[in-house]
Amino acid sequence: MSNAFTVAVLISAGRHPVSGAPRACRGDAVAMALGRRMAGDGVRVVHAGAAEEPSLQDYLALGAGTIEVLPLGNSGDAVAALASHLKSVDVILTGSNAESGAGSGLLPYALARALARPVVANVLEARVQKTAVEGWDVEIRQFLPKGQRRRIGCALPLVIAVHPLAPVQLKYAYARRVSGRIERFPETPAETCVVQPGWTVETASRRPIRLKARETKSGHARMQAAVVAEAKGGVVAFEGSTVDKAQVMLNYLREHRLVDF
Amino acid sequence: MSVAVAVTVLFWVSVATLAIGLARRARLWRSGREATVEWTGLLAVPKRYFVDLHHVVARDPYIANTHIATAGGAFAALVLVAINYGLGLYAPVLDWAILLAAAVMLTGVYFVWMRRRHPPLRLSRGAWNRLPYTLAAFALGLALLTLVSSQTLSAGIAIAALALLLAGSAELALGIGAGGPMKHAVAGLLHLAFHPRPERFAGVRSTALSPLALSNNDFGTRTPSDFLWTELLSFDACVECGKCEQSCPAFGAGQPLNPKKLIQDLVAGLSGSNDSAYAGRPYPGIPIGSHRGALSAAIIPKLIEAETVWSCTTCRACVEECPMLIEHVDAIVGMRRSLNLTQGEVPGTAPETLCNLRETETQGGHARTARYNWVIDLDVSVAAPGKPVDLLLIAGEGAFDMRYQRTLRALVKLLKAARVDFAILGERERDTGDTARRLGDEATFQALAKRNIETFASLDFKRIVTSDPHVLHSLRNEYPALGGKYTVVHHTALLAELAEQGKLQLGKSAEARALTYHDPCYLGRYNGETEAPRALLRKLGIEVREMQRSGLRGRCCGGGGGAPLTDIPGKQRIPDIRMADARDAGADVIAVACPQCTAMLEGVAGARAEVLDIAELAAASLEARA
Ligand code: SF4
Ligand code: SF4
Repeated sequence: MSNAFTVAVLISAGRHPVSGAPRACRGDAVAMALGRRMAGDGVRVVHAGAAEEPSLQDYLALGAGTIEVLPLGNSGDAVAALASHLKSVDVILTGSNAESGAGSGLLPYALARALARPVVANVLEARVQKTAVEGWDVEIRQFLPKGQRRRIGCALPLVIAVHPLAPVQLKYAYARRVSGRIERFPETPAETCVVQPGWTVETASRRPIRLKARETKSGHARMQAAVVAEAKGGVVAFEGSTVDKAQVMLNYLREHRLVDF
Repeated sequence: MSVAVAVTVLFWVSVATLAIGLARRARLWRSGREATVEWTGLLAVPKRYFVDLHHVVARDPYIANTHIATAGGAFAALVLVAINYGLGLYAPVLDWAILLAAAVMLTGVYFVWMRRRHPPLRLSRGAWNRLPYTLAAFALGLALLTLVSSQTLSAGIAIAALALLLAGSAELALGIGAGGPMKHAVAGLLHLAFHPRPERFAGVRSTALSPLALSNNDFGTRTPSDFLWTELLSFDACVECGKCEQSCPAFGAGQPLNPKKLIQDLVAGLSGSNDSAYAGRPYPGIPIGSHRGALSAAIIPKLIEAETVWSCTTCRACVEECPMLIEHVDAIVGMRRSLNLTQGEVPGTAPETLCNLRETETQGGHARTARYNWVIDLDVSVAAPGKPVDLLLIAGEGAFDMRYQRTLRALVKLLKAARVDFAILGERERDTGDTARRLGDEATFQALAKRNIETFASLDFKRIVTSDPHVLHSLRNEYPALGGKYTVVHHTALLAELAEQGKLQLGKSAEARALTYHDPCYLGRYNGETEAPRALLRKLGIEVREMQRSGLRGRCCGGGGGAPLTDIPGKQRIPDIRMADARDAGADVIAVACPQCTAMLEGVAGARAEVLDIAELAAASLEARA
């Protein structure tokens, strides 16, 4: 299938939350499946890191075909390497969180900034449209809480962070693991020099812990909030400058003792 | 031309027709994969026929006797005709012998006809229904002609007799080449000679799946020509008796699987035709007539639907019942392997389980360190390198299930009471990969097996004991092909042995309710162990009320082969059917000996018999003594 547009998926080294065994990062595998749905076999699969990373084998089994590996030098700056490698790609798909490393979920944003493109997060489905009637090229269905979904139109090029619940089926086939290829690219000389933080790497827990205000509502009110979309408390800060808005949030966090400064 | 010469001509024409037909059919078989065969198997055919095959057929005395008369008479008649007419002896004495053989055959055919008048639903009709008539024509023709040669009959009758003989001979001679019902005779005998599991004839319960050579890119059976040629031959031996269909739990539950139809579809695939001539019961819920195949065309989904192969519990009931000794499970797992390994197409929650096996080496995605949490207060030693121990206890996946932990705790108490020197495998224990293998994921199975074999090599033990027949089967029967040879015992066998030796002093069970015992397929049919559990129950003073289907012919609980994971919908659930069996036997307690059976039968809703493992019953008797 030859597409008028190009799609690339970024994959990372996954680790099982219980056993720590190398595996395809679930979110990235979902993104890859979505990418295959958009562009068929034409989708490019890119990993920034070591070609020896064992979890890459899982991606091959899941249908990656060929994985392009960009080695990271001492700088370890994946964003810069990926940005220069994927300059001409129309749609870049990522998962929402890595399972190892920082796992901050910042990569799609950083990459979008480096490439000066929009980024759409929590994407469930994406379809590239040929028509330009409404003036956009990609139709996106976005995940919102409480069963809500939002349809978004967006122009190419863009970065898409895929929601882990995107409706795709992962099919693991051993024969594809054997027949798949890993293609190594030369290291791009890194200009940026990031100070390496002295982190110790450990297995990511299944889910990041969410900061949450303690519920003081009655059971009935909680039930209402869960089933009725409108019944939410709190304030929506539309007015004011960014500093004002930030102040509203900070006040909220302080009020509920979620920060102590 | 005299009548006798006409018979000679007819005989040789029939022999030539048969030879040409056989050659054509053999070309189809030989398009399968190369298999290692012993040509001496041909010499063993009579023994295999009269002992091994007949052992199965004799379960139905009516048809056994009918077949002896029909086939025996026909065979004797053919040999005599070959001598007397084929060689042109025309001796009247032999004519009388032919007449006798024809009479025996005719008697047999009468009973074939009787059964065919009101055939049980499991039998195929269609071409099979004409058999009593063509066979009768053959026998009658022969009988008349032998009388003709004694010059007592008119020419008109002689011609009629020749016509009858021609019709009968056509059925026999054309059968193999045209794929008619009588192909079973030739293919069946050759299948006995070249059976893919010849060790079955040496009295071995050959039940292990054979390993795939993954490094040679052997990824299972995609097309009919991916079967071994001996397997293709075996499909042609099927007599469409439907014994397999009748015993198949998936068929009984209305899931889209019928082992007889499956074999017939493979015959259609091997001969490049379709299933429109099939005249038996369909896969429940899937109409007949739309399935078409060819030797080198993908079997799934055009010839056989994927749901069909995923419905199987690998219980081997079909294999146990098949009078032609066909290996259905090998065929089904072969097709599953191809789907799994080349396309990753596995239904239900099975992909998740396979993923867990790859990533955590447990089926449920648990931490390996959590497997023996239930043992924490029981003071059990953990196996370690350099610490010799008699028995290694392997708990299996059931160890993560709260219900099954009761059974395991009972087992540990019994082992301690018998002062057995044993140790658990602890966090070194990985899944054996049994479920992965049944689901066709040979790669994951082999990876797990390899690591397990390394672990076992580092430990010092004499025997392995497990309460999980699936673990037992893979360790005892399937690991040897990968280099791991161990003595593995089931907990019921070990407890029976300890009780027999007096090391384990069991009391009388306080269980006053009526009790039946459910044979796990992987203990009974796969390993032939049906006696030890019963002996143990007897020791406890419990009398077992047998269900109608028990022992080697027991009905599956529905838990094997990953079937609860693929979860193909049917009209009923298999465990519900099994629970109804227990009810019919009047049992209030159903004794089990397998974690899968426990889970499946415990999952039956509504009023039902209580499910207790034999270990629990035995442990309770200890407490009663104390
Ligand atoms: S496969 Fe065996 S049991 Fe089934 S119908 Fe054929 S001969 Fe009978
Ligand atoms: S193994 Fe059991 S479930 Fe599978 S086809 Fe045979 S009888 Fe049916």
